[in-house]
Amino acid sequence: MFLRTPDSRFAFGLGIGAVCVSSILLLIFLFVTGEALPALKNVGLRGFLFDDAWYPTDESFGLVPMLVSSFVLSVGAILLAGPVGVAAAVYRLYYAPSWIRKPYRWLVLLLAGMPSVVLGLWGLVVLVPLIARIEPPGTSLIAGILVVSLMVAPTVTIMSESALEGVARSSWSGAAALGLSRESTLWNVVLPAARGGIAAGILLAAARAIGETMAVLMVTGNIVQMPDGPFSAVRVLTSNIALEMAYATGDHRAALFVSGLALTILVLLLSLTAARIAGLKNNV
Amino acid sequence: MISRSLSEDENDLIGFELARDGVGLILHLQNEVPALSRRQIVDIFTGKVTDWEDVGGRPGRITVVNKAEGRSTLELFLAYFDLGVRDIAAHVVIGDNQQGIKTVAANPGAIGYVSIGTAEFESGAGTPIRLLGLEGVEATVENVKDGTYPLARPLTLVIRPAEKVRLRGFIEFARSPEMHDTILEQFFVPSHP
Amino acid sequence: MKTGPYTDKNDASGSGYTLGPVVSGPECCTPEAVIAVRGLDVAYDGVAALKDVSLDIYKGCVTALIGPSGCGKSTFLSSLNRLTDMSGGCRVSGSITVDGWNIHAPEVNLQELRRKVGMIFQRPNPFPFSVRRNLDMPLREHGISNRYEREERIETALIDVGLWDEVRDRLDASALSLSGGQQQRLCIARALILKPSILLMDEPCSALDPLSSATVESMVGSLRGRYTVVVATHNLAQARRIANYAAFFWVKDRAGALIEYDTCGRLFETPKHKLTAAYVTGIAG
Ligand SMILES: Nc1ncnc2c1ncn2[C@@H]1O[C@H](COP(=O)(O)OP(=O)(O)OP(=O)(O)O)[C@@H](O)[C@H]1O
Ligand SMILES: [Mg+2]
Repeated sequence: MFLRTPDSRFAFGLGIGAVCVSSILLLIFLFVTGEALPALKNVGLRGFLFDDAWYPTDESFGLVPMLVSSFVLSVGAILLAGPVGVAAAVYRLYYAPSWIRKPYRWLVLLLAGMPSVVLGLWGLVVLVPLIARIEPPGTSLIAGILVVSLMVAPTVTIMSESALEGVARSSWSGAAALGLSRESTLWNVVLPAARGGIAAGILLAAARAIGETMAVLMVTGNIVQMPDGPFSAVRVLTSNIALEMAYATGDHRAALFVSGLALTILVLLLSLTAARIAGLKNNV
Repeated sequence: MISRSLSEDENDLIGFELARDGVGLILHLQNEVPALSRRQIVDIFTGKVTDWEDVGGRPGRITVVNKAEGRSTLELFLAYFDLGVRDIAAHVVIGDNQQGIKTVAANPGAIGYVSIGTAEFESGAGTPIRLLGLEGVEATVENVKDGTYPLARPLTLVIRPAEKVRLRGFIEFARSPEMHDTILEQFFVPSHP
Repeated sequence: MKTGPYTDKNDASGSGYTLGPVVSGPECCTPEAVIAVRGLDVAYDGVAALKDVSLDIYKGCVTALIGPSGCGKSTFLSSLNRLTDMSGGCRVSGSITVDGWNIHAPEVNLQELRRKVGMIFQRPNPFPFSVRRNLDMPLREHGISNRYEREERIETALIDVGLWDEVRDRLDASALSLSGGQQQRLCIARALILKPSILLMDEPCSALDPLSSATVESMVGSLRGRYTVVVATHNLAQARRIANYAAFFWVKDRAGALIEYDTCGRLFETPKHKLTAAYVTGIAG
């Protein structure tokens, strides 16, 4: 029998686990699609794409501004958190004085585990009034980008650190033997060697950024409009669901599931592109 | 439990009103505007007036804090001022009352509207907001209770018709005087004597 | 800018040492010490690994370091290009001069020293990116900004190690996709491309299959006369085949020590020390 050896039993168990997880994902996707279907039927894809605004209780279902806002916000957050997160990892591993290293690590872990509402609250009470001094009311795209980048930077740092630490010792000595300084070893050998892990960290951070809800909800102002600058208020897809789901009924509710579907597709596209970039780079 | 009456397309359910909750306009504590007329409120929320100076306050940009669509507070507010969802020119949209209060507390130029009970509790606890009266009536739990405050909403217990018989005892209990303390604790006003 | 002994690029911009074709034996080497080691002590975290080593390495010759595991061959090699600086607890004392310059002098430019003294490791360690970039990057780092010059030198280095025909179509493939022997030859090309005059090799064939090992070995042989090569090896037959001089190390009083140093022929045929005799005949070690 095929389950005779411990190894085949183990493999079988793992297989069941894998099937369970993927079928749960599939079920969720099917559920969301099913819930979204009435709205897709009644409103039609055209409505979601071309309606001029989002007034679901008034038969207007334009999702595009929120799609764009979600995209811009997470790209902005990644552009900020990516370099900062990698720089923090490089600093801690190779430049920080040894007495800083441990506390610094704790700080990063603490920040990584910080509940997003807490960061959102901080954003609302500290960051937003600061931004309001430049351009009131302060609840804006840039506030969202700052809060979310603060939230995802630790992810980038932690993933980058393990990728950098995974670079073989022999690469360091090989580079030193070629007369490379520490800086150029870092830039030309170690960082390129760790690029796969770093890219994975940034991808993870991007997924988190686009799915982030509570903190964004508190600081971006949530006006449904195309962002026309860092200070304009925006509403992202996740906020839209969180804001309206509790009281939504009928087509409105189904339309929120369409936002969920759009979000899922956006995340999917993002991770596909990121995976492609990472894959391409690894072959250089 | 919903904070509104049942809508017409929800005729598959039965609702029982348990209590009332007033919706009050809130400002930052530093905002010294004495009172706003109905006209002024409408002008502010529709974006015709954008500076506090124009309604008798100190100069400063007005930040309109609106509720998210579907929220009963929004529906109540719109119905009372005879506005449509598209008429509001909001700067910030918020979800629940807590978020509204925090947003206004963090912005001296903001105006929003939330449940009076929650707002009264928060301002009593030191949050820098104040409630603005409406049509000469102060926005207090007291005035919601005696029915003088005009902008109020019902809190409704909702059941499936099939469960009506089974739940009769519970509904009677929920509407009985025994529940008044619990309702008052939440700063709501019991609907039944 | 420091004006130390290794900031002068003029003598290195040629093709290293060109002493003409080498027939065999040490006679053809210039009997001129290019590296002079005197009273070298090396300790890791206070534990001695090498004690009181003194010897001269001759220009254009291949010098083999032999001896049992742990006798300090690698340690000796890495003190010659100061790679010992990389391990934190390592302390080096005694004097080492290369081309008459004290490599521990404060004004020494470490990057330049290492450009001049190349090193090959036991395990091939190409960087995890393309073949081309493995060779191009060190050149750029050493200030070769002309792209055509870099391409030319890449091609020359690959031809020198006999790899050109094998990888000319795969220059942009990952260096890790090469076979072990190809990887090691790539690493040798990477060291040669900087035109060093001295090459340190730490058991360059031990991680390779016999065929690749033979390829690399004959390549090292062909370097004789053009470069000064110091090679650590466990393979005595190999040492005899390729080396002009041989140094025998042994663990004495729990630290590595140089027991005997002579021309390869004499060290293997008529060793003076009985430990050497025992080791080269396979009785000890
Ligand atoms: N980085 C290090 N830290 C501490 N001790 C070390 C280090 N490198 C080498 N040693 C010690 O120094 C001694 C000499 O080691 P070395 O690697 O030079 O020997 P070897 O002759 O190259 O041996 P093998 O033939 O096995 O490569 C050994 O006792 C070793 O344990
Ligand atoms: Mg060794």
